[in-house]
Amino acid sequence: MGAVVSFRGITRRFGSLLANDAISFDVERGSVHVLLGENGAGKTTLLSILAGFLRADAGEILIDGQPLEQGSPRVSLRRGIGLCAQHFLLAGALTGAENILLGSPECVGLRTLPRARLDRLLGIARANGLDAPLDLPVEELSVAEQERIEILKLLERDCSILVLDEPTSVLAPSEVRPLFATLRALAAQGKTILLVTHRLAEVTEIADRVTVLRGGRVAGEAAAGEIDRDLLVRWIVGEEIQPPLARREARPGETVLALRSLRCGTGACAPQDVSLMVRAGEVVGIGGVLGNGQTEIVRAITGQIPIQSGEIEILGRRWGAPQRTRLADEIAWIPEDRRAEGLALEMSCGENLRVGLPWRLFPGRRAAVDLLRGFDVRPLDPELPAASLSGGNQQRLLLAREMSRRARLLLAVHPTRGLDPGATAFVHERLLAARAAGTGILLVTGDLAELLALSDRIAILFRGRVGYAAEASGVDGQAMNRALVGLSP
Amino acid sequence: MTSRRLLLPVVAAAIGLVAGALLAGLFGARPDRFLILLLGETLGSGYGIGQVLFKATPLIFTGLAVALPFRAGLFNIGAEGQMMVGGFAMALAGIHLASVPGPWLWLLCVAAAFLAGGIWGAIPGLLKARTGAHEVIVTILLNFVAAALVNYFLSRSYALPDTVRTATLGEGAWMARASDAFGFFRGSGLSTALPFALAAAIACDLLLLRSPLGFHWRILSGGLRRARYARLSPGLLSALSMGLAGAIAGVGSCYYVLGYKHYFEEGFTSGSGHVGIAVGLLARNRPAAIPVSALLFGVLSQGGLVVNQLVPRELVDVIVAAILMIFISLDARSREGGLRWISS
Repeated sequence: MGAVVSFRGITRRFGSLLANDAISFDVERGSVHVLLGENGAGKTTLLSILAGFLRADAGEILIDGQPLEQGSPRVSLRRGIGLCAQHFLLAGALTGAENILLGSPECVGLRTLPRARLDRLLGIARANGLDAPLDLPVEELSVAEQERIEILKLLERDCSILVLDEPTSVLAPSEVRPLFATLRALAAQGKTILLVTHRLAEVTEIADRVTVLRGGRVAGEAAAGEIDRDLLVRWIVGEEIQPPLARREARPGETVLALRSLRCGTGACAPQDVSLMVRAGEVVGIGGVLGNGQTEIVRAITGQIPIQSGEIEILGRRWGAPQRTRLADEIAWIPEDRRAEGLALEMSCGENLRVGLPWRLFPGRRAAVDLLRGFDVRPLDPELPAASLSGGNQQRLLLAREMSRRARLLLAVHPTRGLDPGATAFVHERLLAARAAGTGILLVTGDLAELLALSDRIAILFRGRVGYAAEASGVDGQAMNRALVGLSP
Repeated sequence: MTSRRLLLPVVAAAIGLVAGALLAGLFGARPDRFLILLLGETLGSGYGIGQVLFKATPLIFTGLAVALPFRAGLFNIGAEGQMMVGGFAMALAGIHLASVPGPWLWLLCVAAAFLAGGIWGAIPGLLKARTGAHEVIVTILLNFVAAALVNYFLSRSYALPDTVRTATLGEGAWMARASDAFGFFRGSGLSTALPFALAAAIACDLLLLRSPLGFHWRILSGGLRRARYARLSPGLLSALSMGLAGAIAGVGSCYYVLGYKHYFEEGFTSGSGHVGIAVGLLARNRPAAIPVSALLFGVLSQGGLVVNQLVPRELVDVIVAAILMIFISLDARSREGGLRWISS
């Protein structure tokens, strides 16, 4: 036994976002090593660097003690590293065999696959219990079969280090077990498995060792015997205690948003029977590990997907299945993705202060400068393209516009994601100021500390259902942590 | 920044012309003579200048018809068909209403072209909104449909015997020829359609960059998610954008139907709709820059005729392609910051 992969101080920045911050850990040969962490914790970035799709800004990776030349998928593959991406990289119109052999030098004419290669492939498939039809177009196969094709592809190329990014997220529970059996068998043969998952229950089932990332750093590591679920949860969601934000007692007014037995979206984590209410002058926080239905709830409230059953009431107007809501001008919305939704990066800051606003609310030149100054957007220049601002300043710009609506309801979706502490504190302060001014706020966040610091009431989502709900003043930490991973309180 | 915006197309045009001159050498022509002929015969005489401006006029309209939708994230390949349909409607108005006096007939003809081109152009926008059909495919196909429909009605009911042209429009609809007022342009087809085109370019620039509608179009260009976030109706905006583009291309037929021959003739568009794509591209789809870009293509279009005595006129098409490729690659590199020497 020895470290077959060693991450040494891997650091990678995307603009102002520090995706990987000096990550160091070892992966033992012949082990199943699980990588845990929320979305945005830096897992995919780290795996992409390992597979050669990205280059680290600093740090190195040792494979069998020898440094890996970064930035070349070809080199990574030659060193035995095979990545099975979260979203499969298969050509739908080609057969399984063609997909697997695609890119091999001797397979130029795809219709005439070398017989010897095919036989070898069938042998590998049989030996590892990876049966999937190899002669059908992969778009006709089930997701589980496609996954087996992806793994076969790596084995066919003699990869000794198999990197699987959330292989189980798309599988039904009955399909997970055979996959794990295969992975175990491969590990027993001396292959090394590096596996990403969000499902804590799977960790105890398969992991020899687990590493948890949070905010781009290693939050903790444990070996199979010492895995403690509560500890993992604390590592994943963070436990740093922030000084409580000064806030006045809520004086809730009329209901501005109500979800009643809402069902919407598709997939295993689609919201089911979600009921909650936001009143003027209070913050209601939806928490939980990301990907448990938060996005779908926001999409239903904002009319991007239809209601399947239940009801949404916004500012006194009601919608039921199969309608889509329509957002009135008095609703402010800090979207999940400020770059693709909230801002027009190619436009100037001045123009961005108008995006989504009705014409009558367009700020004039002077008002625009005042807004930018009021929200401390730097540099203070309405002519500057929004793309030239840092992430934090882009979020301030977005906030400036949405706050200028003087809205009665504010949807704040991951309002501080990717922001540094200073910008985060600024956003928190402004959200609480809006609350004090009588705005009802629905906060969606994956950050537990933020959830507890801002919310008057919280609801924890797990796989589309509210697993725990409480007044923020009376939160039972133990029960909340259990709800985060889907255990009943 | 601004200087680079202006400089890049000029650099591309210069390199393209020089490359064309060297290519002319392969055909046995002296490169310097080729260039002198190309530029001298187009920009060196009243007739040449008039013809260049005449050929640039429809390109301004079709360039706008490509640029406006482009800034809303839509690709209009249908300006050719839109101009044809508009021109036919324009001619019908001018023939059937020939008794209407002076400027009113002109207005009616332009309105007919605007409506016909607009409806024709809005079809792909509506289809995209309703069914998701891609506007590129639909506009390409509609070009063929437009040609077939117009030719059907032309040959069945409107063509003069043994020709592919309609009767002449009522005189009230005619646009003044430049050579009537300025002898300098004698013999060229230049008319008041040119100032009309320039006015259209300025109007489009204001619409796109200064009006709420143009603002919404530009938000839409960033994708559906952004448009939905901004509470816009992507379908309505797409249809409006494509409709207006079609209307502009349709009205553009005035350079020929009202300003030059005073009748509709099969094939009068002669590819203006397709060249409009290149015109828009070279102007970076900025409406105010389109006349300049159209002028360059006017030079090359007229130049193709004059260099024919030395080399095959298709060589000019090669120059056009070279300019576009050089421009696109310089533009892409400059965005990556690889061409700082040009911007500073």
